[in-house]
Amino acid sequence: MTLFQIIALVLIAVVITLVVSSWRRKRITGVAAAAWILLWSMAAGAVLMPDATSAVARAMSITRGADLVFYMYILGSAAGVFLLVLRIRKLEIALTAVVRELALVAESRGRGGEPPEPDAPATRSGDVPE
Amino acid sequence: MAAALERNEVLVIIPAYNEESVIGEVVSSVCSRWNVLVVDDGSADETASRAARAGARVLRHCVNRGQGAALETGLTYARRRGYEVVVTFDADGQHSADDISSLLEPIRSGRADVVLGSRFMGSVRDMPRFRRVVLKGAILFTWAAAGVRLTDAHNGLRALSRQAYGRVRLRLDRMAYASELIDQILSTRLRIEEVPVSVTYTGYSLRKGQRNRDAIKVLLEYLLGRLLG
Repeated sequence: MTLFQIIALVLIAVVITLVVSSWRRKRITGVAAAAWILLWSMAAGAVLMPDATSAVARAMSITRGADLVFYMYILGSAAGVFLLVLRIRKLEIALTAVVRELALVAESRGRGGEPPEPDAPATRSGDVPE
Repeated sequence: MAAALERNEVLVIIPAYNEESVIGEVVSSVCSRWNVLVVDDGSADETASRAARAGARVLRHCVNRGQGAALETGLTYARRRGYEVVVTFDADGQHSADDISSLLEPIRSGRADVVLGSRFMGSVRDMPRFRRVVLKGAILFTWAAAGVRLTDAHNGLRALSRQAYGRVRLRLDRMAYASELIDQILSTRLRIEEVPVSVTYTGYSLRKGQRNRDAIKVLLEYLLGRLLG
């Protein structure tokens, strides 16, 4: 076993331990933990048996195992970034909604929690739903 | 709607961020004729208190969320209170309160649901040359993206009838809301009319406002919003 393989396997073992710990503390679900452990186990397999990646790569018409790993990393990272952007967008929308409602509630409380102002007209064409 | 609009039927919404030096004057110019709501978008200065002293009702965002977010907060306030017309008005002093009547007329007479102010149909004072190029680019983009040819696609001076503002829901928090608003107006088949208005660029408004290169950020925000929904 090479020095790189030893270091990589130790790091992977640490990560898997953290995943298990997170699952036991209920910070991630069992399904998420299993998925992460599978992913890191595959990484460990690729480190232990580098020729296996070459066999898989050739089956997919990719020249080298290292190229296959690189392509998968790029695709996985792109998917991860997209999911993060979606999540951030969702959080931004929620944050704005909270800030908005706080502003509206504070304003109505500042007027003693009154219903719509006396100077607002009776509805002509029915209330506009929000 | 044919009778003249009363003061209590119209709400002028002014989103504002760190505009303490001009907000009092802006609010005073509008307050004499119309109800004013200033939405303070998390300002770090005295914008809210000066707006209130000048006669505006004030909503305060506890953190800055963007002009689009502030405007949607104002629209939500209007929906809950049932105003017949809302007018959006910039806080930096570029707009003239005298133009509000022109915006209201097509709605009052039933010709339009949304009235957009156009500086290129009206008058522009002291506009930097490159700003004109950027704005014309925005017009072309709106034409390509939304299929509608406007003479001024990004003017903050506009009026929406109750039916119109009841149907739109702005989700883009920052400056791309203007394009989102056009998209929603067109998708709900509301009637649009443009009227001439005046816009005056001052040293203050140019220093404070959007820089020309921000047009790229606005475009990216709009495209990302369309992509993500």
